[in-house]
Amino acid sequence: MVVLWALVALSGLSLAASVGAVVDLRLATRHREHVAALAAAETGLAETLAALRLEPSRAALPDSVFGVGPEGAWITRWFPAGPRVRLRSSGESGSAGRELETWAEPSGATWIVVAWREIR
Amino acid sequence: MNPERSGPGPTRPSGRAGTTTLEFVVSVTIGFFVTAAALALCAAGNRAVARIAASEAAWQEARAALTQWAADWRGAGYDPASGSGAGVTRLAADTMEFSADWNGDGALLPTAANPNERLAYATAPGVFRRGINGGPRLAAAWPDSAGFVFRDGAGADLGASPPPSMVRIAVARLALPNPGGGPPPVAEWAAARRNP
Repeated sequence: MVVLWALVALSGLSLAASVGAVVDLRLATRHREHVAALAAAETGLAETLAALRLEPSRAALPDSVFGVGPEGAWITRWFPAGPRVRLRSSGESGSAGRELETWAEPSGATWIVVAWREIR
Repeated sequence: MNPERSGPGPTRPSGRAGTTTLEFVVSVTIGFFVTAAALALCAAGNRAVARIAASEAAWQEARAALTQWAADWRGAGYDPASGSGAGVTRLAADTMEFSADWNGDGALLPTAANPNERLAYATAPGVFRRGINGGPRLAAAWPDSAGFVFRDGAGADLGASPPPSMVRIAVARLALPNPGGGPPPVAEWAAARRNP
């Protein structure tokens, strides 16, 4: 009888620990995917600003750039807004997706980000 | 007919079926201890499960709260209209206050039209609080202790109350409950603000 109760108690304990570990692992994986998705979105932002530096005339019309990097896939769209451009950059990694909205303005031969936020 | 059962006598011969009072008391006592031991074992298991569940919940809440904090801090000073005055206003080891013009209307007034634009994080033993537009909104009691560390863009520590303009990286440290009873595990998240 005692052995039976002990087995029941230990089984419950190990089951709870296993479930907790699985949940924790899934959350950690999810967290890593979100970090990678954010990094992918920022990679897209940097690549787009580099492309606009090489061809400044492209900033006059809405357009987009996309690519795949070690962090994940990204696509960045931009829209002219006076002297600035508004950029929406999305990054995806695994099941996670992040999106940024940024504003950039020309500074000499390059573009600098003057406003940056996460949309999701 | 069993001749042994028909014989008279005050005591039961050895090897006979039946229970004496002494045997009954001894068996009840043993059963009591066995049951008590089994219940104690179950109670210990339940307590261990509860500790594990509480620890998991604390870590999950820490992840959620720190994800929110990191996203807010990365966007601190967001000011697409360049006229709202959004920025970092106060930093201390237990407090962070900053703003962001999320909707780009050029105003940071704490109204329903400008939600979440003035933000404050405060920590204390048992508290990790996110205040929105000047009011407390989120209070949790799971961290044993918490605090912020501030660094410049190169990662150099700037002390407990640095000038906001110098700070690029903020680190949040939260001590979480330890189900084993030892030193509490510390969660540490770092985020770099992106806006000028």
